[in-house]
Amino acid sequence: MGDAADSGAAAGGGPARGGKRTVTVKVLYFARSREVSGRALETWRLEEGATTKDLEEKLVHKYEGLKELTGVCAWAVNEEYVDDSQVLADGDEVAIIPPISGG
Amino acid sequence: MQILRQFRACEPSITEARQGEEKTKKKQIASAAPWLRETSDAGLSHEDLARFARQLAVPGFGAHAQARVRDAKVLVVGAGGLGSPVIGLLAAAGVGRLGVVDGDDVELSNLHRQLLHSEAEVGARKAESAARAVKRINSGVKVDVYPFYLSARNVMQLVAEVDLVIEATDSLASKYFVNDACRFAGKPVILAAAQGVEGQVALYAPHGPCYRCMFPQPPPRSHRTTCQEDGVLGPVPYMVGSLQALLALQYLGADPATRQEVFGKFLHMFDGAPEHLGMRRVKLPENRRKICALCSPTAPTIQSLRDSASFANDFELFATCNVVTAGAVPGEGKVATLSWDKLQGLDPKRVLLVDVREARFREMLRFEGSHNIFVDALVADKGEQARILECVRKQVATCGGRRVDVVAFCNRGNDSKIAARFLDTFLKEENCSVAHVPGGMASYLD
Ligand SMILES: [Zn+2]
Repeated sequence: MGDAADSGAAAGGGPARGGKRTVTVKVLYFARSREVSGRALETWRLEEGATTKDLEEKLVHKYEGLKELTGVCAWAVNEEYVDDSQVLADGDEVAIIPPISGG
Repeated sequence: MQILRQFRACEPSITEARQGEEKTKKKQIASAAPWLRETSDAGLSHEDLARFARQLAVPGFGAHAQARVRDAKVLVVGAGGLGSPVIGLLAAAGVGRLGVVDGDDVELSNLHRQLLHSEAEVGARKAESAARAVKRINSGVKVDVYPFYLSARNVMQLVAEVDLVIEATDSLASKYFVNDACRFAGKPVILAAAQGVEGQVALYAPHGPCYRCMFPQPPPRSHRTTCQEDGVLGPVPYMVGSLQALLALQYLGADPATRQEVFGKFLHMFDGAPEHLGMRRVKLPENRRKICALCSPTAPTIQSLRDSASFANDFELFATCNVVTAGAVPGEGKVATLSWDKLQGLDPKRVLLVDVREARFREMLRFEGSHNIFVDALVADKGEQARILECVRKQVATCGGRRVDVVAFCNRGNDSKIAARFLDTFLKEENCSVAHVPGGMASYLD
């Protein structure tokens, strides 16, 4: 666990190969999503204009175990609840929050 | 030293005597002097002023807040890990009437986190034990004891009578059910959960988004844990339950006209991992969501408590066990059972005990001759399947070709049932019978 940079991560937004601009976002994993991904925090570089849905696809591709989970999670960007069409901006902090039971 | 002890021993009686003296003196003064005629705008008694002095002194929580709290009725669903701090703190703070719903009995394994209960209460009804604790803390609180589980038959009546509902069980199904009932009744509800070292808490107000708006679907079976004994460190539910109590006091104490502006806006998350220790919050959606099964203005699939109860029931069926269904999980065939007592009487040469718990549980207690394989690996991993097959054949050979009993066990008897179901099919060509131990290690230790 901890601050692990993804292979697609970069220090910030800017032109990527092929001239496409990218944005860099910080992903916070909670509860079961933390268990499955094995980390609490991760940096992702995405194409400009990418939505939470696009990020979700990438996450599930990287962590197969997140399949069936990301869909039931609450997603928040910069501490605000968002739906899956939210366009992500450079520097955004995306939280993935599964419902938890227990007490 | 001796003198000091004696002095301490008689101290309470001195204090009591002084208090009595002062009371009579004060009454005489008041009746004698019209300029000392008392009035408390919020209607608090002298005892209230003394008992709640420290919370009355908190800016923003004054006499009127205390009076609202005193006049409030709160229903707490669950008197366990979250319920302990909720019930204890609300009783101490002077909530007028507390309803306590819990169908469980107090178990030894509750005591590491459920400070409302004690060793002497093991075996007692949890709701009754909680009520006794409330009386010890603040005898002025009226307690309604409901020593049963909520159902579609009883929930509306209980919810209708109160100003605020607090959901403090360990069941996700209960959270959806209580959320729905509160919505139907137009009551605010504070829902929370604590698992591992993490917790979540939020107040959902009648006109804002609900729990389903945040979490429209429960996680699928593969992402739920129950059978494998979810762990939780005691301070985590205490932390989260304390937050529920804090929200409850502030909500009840607030001027009803301003409540809507302040409450029901955030989901609060507690992260107790040492490297992340702290709180975060997430702003709830501004409005009730169209995709919510309850709030959808056009097509709500949950229109009645009956819908809600069947949702919770379906879901609880699945919640009884957590198995990653990567391999073929056999159908609902009957599985033979064997108690620990019967197991003890079997011929040791003809028994293969299969421990299907996660490895970490074997650090606590294990049996030396068992074949150890976690249920998920057993149903999914070809290598592990080959290993157990070899093991069974070896055992058959050892006992001279006689029939071998393959007996699976786990923590509570859910995973072992799935393992036995799998083994029954997988080993059908072998000279063996497959069974599992109902109740698992929990019944062994009982
Ligand atoms: Zn809703």
